[in-house]
Amino acid sequence: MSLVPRLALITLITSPVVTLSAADLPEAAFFKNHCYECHDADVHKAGLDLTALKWNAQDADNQALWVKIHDRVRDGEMPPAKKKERPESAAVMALTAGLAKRLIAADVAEQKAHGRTPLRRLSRVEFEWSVRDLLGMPALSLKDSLPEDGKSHGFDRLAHALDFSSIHLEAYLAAVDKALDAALCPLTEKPPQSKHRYRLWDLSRHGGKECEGFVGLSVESRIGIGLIGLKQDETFVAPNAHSVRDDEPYATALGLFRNEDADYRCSLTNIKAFYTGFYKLRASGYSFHWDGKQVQPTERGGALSWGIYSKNIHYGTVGLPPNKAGETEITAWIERGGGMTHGTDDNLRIVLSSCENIRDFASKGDGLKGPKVPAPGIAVEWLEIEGPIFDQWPPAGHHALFGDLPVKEWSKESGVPLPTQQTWPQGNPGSFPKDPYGERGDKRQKVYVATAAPLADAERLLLTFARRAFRRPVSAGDVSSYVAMVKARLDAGAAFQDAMLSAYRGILTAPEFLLLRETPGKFSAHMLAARLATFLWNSVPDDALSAAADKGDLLKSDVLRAHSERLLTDAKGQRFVENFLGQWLSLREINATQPDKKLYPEFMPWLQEAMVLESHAFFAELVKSDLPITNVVKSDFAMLNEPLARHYGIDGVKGWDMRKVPLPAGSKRGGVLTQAAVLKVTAAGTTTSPVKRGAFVMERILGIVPSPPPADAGAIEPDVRGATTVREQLEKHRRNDTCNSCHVKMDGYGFALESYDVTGEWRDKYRAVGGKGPDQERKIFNGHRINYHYELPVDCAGVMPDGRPFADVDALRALLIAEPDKLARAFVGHLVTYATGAEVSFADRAAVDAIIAKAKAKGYGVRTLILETIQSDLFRTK
Amino acid sequence: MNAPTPILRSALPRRTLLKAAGVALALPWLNAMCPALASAADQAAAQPPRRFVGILTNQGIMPDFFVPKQAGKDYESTPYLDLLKDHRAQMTVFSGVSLPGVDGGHASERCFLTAAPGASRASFRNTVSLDQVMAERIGGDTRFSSLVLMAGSENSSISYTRSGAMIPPIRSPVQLYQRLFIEDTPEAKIAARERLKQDRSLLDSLRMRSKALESGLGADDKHMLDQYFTAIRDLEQRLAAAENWVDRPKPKTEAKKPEEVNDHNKLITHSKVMYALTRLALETDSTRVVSFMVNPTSTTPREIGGVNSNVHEMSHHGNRENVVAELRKVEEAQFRELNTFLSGLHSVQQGGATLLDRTAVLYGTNMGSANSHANDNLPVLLAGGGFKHGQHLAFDRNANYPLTNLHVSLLQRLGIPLDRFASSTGTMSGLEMA
Repeated sequence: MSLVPRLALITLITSPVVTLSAADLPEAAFFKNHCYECHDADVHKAGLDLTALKWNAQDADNQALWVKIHDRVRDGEMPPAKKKERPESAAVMALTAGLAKRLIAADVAEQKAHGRTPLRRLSRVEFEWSVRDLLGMPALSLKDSLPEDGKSHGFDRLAHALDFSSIHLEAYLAAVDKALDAALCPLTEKPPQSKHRYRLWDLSRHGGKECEGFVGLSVESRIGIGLIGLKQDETFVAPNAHSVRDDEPYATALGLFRNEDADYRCSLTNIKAFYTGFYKLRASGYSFHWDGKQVQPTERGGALSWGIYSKNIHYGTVGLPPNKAGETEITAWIERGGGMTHGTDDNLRIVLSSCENIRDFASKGDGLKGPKVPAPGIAVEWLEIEGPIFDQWPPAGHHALFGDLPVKEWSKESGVPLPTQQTWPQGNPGSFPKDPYGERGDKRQKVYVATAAPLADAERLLLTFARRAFRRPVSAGDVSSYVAMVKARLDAGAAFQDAMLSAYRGILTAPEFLLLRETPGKFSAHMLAARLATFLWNSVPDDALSAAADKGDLLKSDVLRAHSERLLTDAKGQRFVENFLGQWLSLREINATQPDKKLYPEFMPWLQEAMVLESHAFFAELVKSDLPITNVVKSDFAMLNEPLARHYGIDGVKGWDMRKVPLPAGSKRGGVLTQAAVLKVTAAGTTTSPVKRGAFVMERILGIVPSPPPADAGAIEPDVRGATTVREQLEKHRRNDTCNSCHVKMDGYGFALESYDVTGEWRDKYRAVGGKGPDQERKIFNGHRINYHYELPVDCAGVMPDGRPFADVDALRALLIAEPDKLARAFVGHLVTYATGAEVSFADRAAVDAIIAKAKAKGYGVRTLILETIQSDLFRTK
Repeated sequence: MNAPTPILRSALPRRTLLKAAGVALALPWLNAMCPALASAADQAAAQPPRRFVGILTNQGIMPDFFVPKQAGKDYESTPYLDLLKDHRAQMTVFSGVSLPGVDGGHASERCFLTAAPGASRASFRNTVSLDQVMAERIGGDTRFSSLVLMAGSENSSISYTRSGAMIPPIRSPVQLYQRLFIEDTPEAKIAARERLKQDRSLLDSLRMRSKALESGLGADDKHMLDQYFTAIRDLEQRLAAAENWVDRPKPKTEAKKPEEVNDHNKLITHSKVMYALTRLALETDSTRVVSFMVNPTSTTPREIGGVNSNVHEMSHHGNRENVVAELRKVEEAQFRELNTFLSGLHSVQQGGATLLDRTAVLYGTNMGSANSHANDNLPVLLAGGGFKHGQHLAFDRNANYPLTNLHVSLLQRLGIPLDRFASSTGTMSGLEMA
């Protein structure tokens, strides 16, 4: 922690007690009577020696320790219950009241002088969205080229975790250059929009000799078949790996099964973008079942994903109806280029996202055309690409940078220098149809931005842009250095466009853009607008919010509330949902560990996608309908799609789209704790850890930060051979008093969640591999040999930190929702930290209590809590 | 291009030579730089430079196959060390060592060269890595003050700046080769110079703007702005250094341009080519400091016979025999590549020493057991670099010896007069300079 210089200025304020020696502490007598026995120089249990502990208001670590002492005495945890001699409650009250008074005084003095939130830079998520919004290019990808942000108190929005170095500056510069280049308009006319529909087995390649490369290969290896509706097309054969032959009756669809290399298999050479932009990707298809010999109807819906998986780009997943074809469509930002390089390629791909992998699908001599095992399949009738789609020309990026200045074709006669042209990636060498812009993009026209009054235009454009980027009104003086930069470059012979880009580079790396600057005390309307836009959209304020700030109206509570509602309800409000949950529930780590394939063969990437969609949809529903905070722990509904419902053992949900599903009483689902995404991020790949899950409940749901384990705590050696459970291993550890003092506070929650495996599926017994025990068949498994067996039973009983026992997850959830104020307080604590970029300090506790008091009447509705947080002084003050 | 010989007669330090030579110098350090006619003083001045290569493989090394049972010189080899048997005399094996306070399971991979404690904490901030301290001190003499490389999956390095920011690694062998050996076209050089000029004027303007913000800021706010200033200054210095090299010809190599490795699963192919380029970079004195992160996390290196599983999944082996056997194949393949790298360094003679003699190669992992994610008892070895080797330095497995002491020894071996690094308590006990 960089708690660097909190010093000096505090001494200017006389009211708070700055330093006290241990002997001078008003608490010394209490400590002597009740605490020294364990916490003196000799024993100094848990490293705490109260005979030597000073009070130092200038030292954040010292203050944090005093907060901990206050809390543990207040909560009756210290002195420990086993001590026979209890302090009188009046003495405890006096101690905590005295400490609280000193702690608050020190805190308030600091906040008055500097505010709660130090100057900080934008996180990379905020940088990316801000630049996207400034340029009107929502699909620009910038974040991943920036250094990962540090986190503090659970979020990447706190000043001292967001450092700034030359590596950052260099990365920001490169990202800005990429963004500005992408925003240029490279053609005077809108590129023609075209539509190309084809069937995967059409002989569309190599002069009509070959079809898509994977089709022949799939048919040859029997994971692809010809289909006429729900019948196999017996005449559909692959004479070689690159083509298929089909005699009458002709196939209407290609049936595909999924195998281990699914994500890299279905590579599409016919679907290309010669021009970077938005495209519609359409598919017609349906799901079917293969019983190991022939095609059968299915009840299971299908799903198809689109992406450029070699570049980690996933455009999305669409649902396909069972048995009868349906048309689907998604919109994707596709960059020009792509194409074959040896070995791998960066073609667009489709993935069969409703099928499990099959193995051992072929054996010689069985005369089958198709897998020898039962398997779900996807039939694809045709695919289509349409685009590029532009609702304006020149495109939005040009408008953001050059307003209404026209783009003209450049020639030597234009009488202006040739500006640097937009960088175009290499096209596909052997593409069909041929790349109209040439493989290197060199057949396109050369263009320039025309201006009659370069300097006047420069000032006008820069003023408009800087107003948005700097999140406040700007004067001519604010942009004079940029105008001078443009002039210097023009004087040196640069093209207008290049000179302007230099200035825009300057704006997008300026401290006024990269750093969120606020001044102590109540916010101005513009600072408030900036904080609100950063909170809910990760971005700069839009025109409406800026206008409200310009008028000063935003400082009025009702106007602030109206804009908060607007931002939250807008589609961009989803950015808050994803960024907040990514951190509050650790959903960003969904990919950090993967379940063992032998233990969890049913786990598939598309199940993981559905998990995250569920958590997003669930939280969005809590916000939208202002549902009580207790829903976080237990709700009577879930947001599900078909694969996830099947995973949870819930019937009657069909299709890929998430929808609200009522849950019966006694359901093991409902609430975030039992969502597969949360259960997956709190597991460790192959095994679950009650400690990790328990700590998650404690910190994220109850707002209590567990102490870190001591250095010599040791680690549990996972063993999945089935001889021992993680609970038994932990019991040993917990026999040690020191270990138990912390574990008693978190393990109980984790034990209850042991009923869910690493994929979030309910279990009564642990799966095991190796060791002894019979392999067990599971019917979803399409002929897979199952390698695991069920071994020891799950013991999901636990004890609350205060000693109340519970039998299982239901009983635990009942105990947790009985105290909704605790859940609300914890949630608002996370929200305040995220929204203001500063943790809840001791003095802020009262403000948090005030927020939740206002939401009590509405059962602590989640939307109300968010809106009341925005109304609070914590949000409206630096 | 003028021949560098006339200049070499002077006894000026190399750095001065470089400055004076301007466009003339083909290779920063060459055998040609210590000609027979030079005086003894010249030869001393022209001793081949010392180098450092730090390598981390981040999914653990199964200790049972690595750590010898006996300490000292006569230790009985182990399956993994058998693969390095050609270099037994040129390396030291360590056990019972760890980085004090470094924890967090996987998170500790960020700290292998920084030794910053507490990676498990939410408020963790990293600190400067060993290679970057070296680069600050000795990096100014070469085109690249250091090279930060990786192979495998993800896109992370083990090198960190003073403020704790990860330095983005080079993962593409083609890009690395181009940076090292491919001369820019004259137009590209002009464009590069123009770009540098633009960047510097931009930095000037940023400095002015941030100065204007400075007044009225509190201490915490100033702290942030100071970082911003420092970032500007550091970048300016780096640009100035880059400008110095724009016009100097790059070294020539007979090695062909490598194939790109796009497939994360080609862990071994990728490692092999990055090792080969590292050797070339050292040999041509393009840099003297290299960090290399081998990241098998999300790979399924099927190119190794008998391997069909994801490495990270295998590392959670839960002591299953078949998984341990499969994972062992992956670790052995990595040791084979290390062996090839060490043999390559050993085969290059410079100024009467082998390149390995002048290059300290640190190889290790951040988890003593990936199965339990424990961060103590790290399997580590050091090869070459001018130390007395041929031994197993075994420390207490229950009360580990600080590996940071080795970091100090490595700094000092490079002639950097520092006697502390992170949690160090001295230099590496039992490891002497040769």
